[in-house]
Amino acid sequence: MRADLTNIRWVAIFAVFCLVQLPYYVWAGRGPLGFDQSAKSAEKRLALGTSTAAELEGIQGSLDSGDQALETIGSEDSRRARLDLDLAILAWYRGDFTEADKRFRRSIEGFEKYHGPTAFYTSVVSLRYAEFLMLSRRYNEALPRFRDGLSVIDNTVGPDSPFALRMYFRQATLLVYMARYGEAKTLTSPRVQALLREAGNFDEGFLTQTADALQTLQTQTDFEAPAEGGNWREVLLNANRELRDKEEQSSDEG
Amino acid sequence: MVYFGRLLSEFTDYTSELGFLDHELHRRLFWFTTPTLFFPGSPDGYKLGLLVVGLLASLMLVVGWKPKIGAAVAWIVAVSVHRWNFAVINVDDSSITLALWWMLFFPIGNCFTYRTWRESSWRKEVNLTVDGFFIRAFFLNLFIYYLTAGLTKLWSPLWKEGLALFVILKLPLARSHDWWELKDLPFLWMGNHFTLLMEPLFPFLLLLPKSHPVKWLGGVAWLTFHLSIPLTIGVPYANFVLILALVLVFHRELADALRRKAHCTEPLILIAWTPPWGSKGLIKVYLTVLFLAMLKGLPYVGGVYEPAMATLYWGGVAQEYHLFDWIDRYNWSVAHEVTVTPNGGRSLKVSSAGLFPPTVRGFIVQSYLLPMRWMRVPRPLTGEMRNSILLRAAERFLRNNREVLGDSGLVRVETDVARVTRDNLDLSKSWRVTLMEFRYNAEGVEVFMNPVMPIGTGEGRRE
Repeated sequence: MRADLTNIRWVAIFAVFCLVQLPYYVWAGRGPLGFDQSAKSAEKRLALGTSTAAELEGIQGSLDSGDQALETIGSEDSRRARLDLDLAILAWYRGDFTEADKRFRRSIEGFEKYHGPTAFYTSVVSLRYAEFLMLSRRYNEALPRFRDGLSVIDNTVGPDSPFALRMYFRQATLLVYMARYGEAKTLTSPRVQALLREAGNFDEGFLTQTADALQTLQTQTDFEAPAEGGNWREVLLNANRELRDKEEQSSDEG
Repeated sequence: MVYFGRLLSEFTDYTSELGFLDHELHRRLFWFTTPTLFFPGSPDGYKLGLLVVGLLASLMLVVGWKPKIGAAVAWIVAVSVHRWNFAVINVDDSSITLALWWMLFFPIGNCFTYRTWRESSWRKEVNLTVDGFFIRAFFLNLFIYYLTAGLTKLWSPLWKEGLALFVILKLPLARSHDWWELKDLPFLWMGNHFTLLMEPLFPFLLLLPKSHPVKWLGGVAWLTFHLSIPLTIGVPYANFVLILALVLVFHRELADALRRKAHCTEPLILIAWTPPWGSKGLIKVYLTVLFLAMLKGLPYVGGVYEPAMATLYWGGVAQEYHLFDWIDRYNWSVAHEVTVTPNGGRSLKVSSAGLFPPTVRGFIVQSYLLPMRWMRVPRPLTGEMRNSILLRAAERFLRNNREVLGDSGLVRVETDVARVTRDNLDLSKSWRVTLMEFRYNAEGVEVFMNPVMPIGTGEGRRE
């Protein structure tokens, strides 16, 4: 018996056992991996602020592949809501505000269905929708979404996280647009230092709009001028550049 | 054997259907974990039976009775458990897989076994020697292990600043997290730099001549290092596997000592042992793939790590040697306060150990409730995972505290969350969140009030 066991080609059996699993892994992985790759590729390009028609077509192609991958997976889950969010941002870039609005709402409904109405992702999408509403000048619809969403974000990632800060200052900008300066000041005053610290995480468009709102706040209330001197636009954009330079330098060293 | 004993003791929390992991959901999140001996809906008796088989197989290995079969069976059961509980697997588990994997190749079972002990004498057995190919290959594995674990820490700001050890020891995963204060920082700074210096140097002991004084000193440092981790942090299995590896590192010194004790002067006798066909080639492939799998994060070549890691996983020997280089990202401290208000009674504080076990796995479970993921749950399915763990933690709490809860009432869990960073070593900056709030009755969780669960999520009905 001992000799028999010794003579069996165990390594060959192991290799065959591994090889016969390969078709299964390829079959089972094509849906989830395909979706992840498509969504990540589209989101990376959307985050860059791409705007040419050809680039937007490329992103649409990735999201179509993601949609097909979801069909392959079969089971319904929150991945559909993620796809709707990406499609909403794409439609926004294209200037199709009706489609963007529809997709944002569908994404929020999806996350409510699978994560719950007060869940982190539901709130993240609701806040992105609030940004969209604000920049579409639908101020009264945007404000309650900022308020509800931010309490959940605070609870999950903490009040000084870059995403929470971005949304606090979006809400403050909205309040300035609505001429509710007192509320805007209350919201911004305790967070200005954190904004300066995290300025490297934000795009110039956001910083410019925020700086203009802070400047307005400074003229309309006793909101303090930047300690560094100059105006808010210079201070925020300089902080952004300095932090990015520092990051680039440290990644070069790495 | 102790490891399988622990798997049995943790059965209710992880392997059974009652534990933290919804195994149906788990197989959807980690689609590649489905080839395992466990399956959803399998009765507890079957799952416990498999763990007992693993335990008995490891006993065969320990006493040397058909040790290869024992190692193979224990390895298959361990790999199956790791796939079934993939979300909470850590270096302790992968080290056991590694040890069992090498037992499949080492020329074990030829001496110092139950059989030879009865038929022979240790004085004769100390004069035997075996083919050293697989031992040298294992040493190469140790090189990959220590160089990866040691060098990757040099990319971490906290390690470079000398703060990483303090931060690690302040995390709830460390069994001694209550011991340390800021005044201990200078001592831990030295420990931090001892780790940075010694970890990448340990494998070079293998190149030193027999009984070289530096080798002895290095051996003491190796032993001290791997004893101090289980004492202060945890992960005992990984560290004891590496302490046991010292037997191989000092095999020539040990053999000499035993031969002297046995007054043996004859030349060594090489045991007639032929490795199974193809096993040397397989080990060469394994070491190459393992090396590629550890290149994560390196410029130009880093991309190969994913297919290499998948290949290791596919072969049942997944390893990850990036140990604690993640401390700059996974540096969350959480402290729960659980308040129970039984209906008609007064509020009382209850230990949070009933909610999450105070172990490394217990910390890993909580990672899915924070904005970090121990295993890469595909986004945005983290939301489904979070709800599932919250519901199951609530049920666990009720099971563990029935005697103080009464028939019905309210449980509220508030959590102080902080990041242990250079600016917050004393944890003075934290924020309080309501982790969960639910009503219970005699049957279990009646309704989740915070967070509001999606409609139709089992007991988490929307109020």
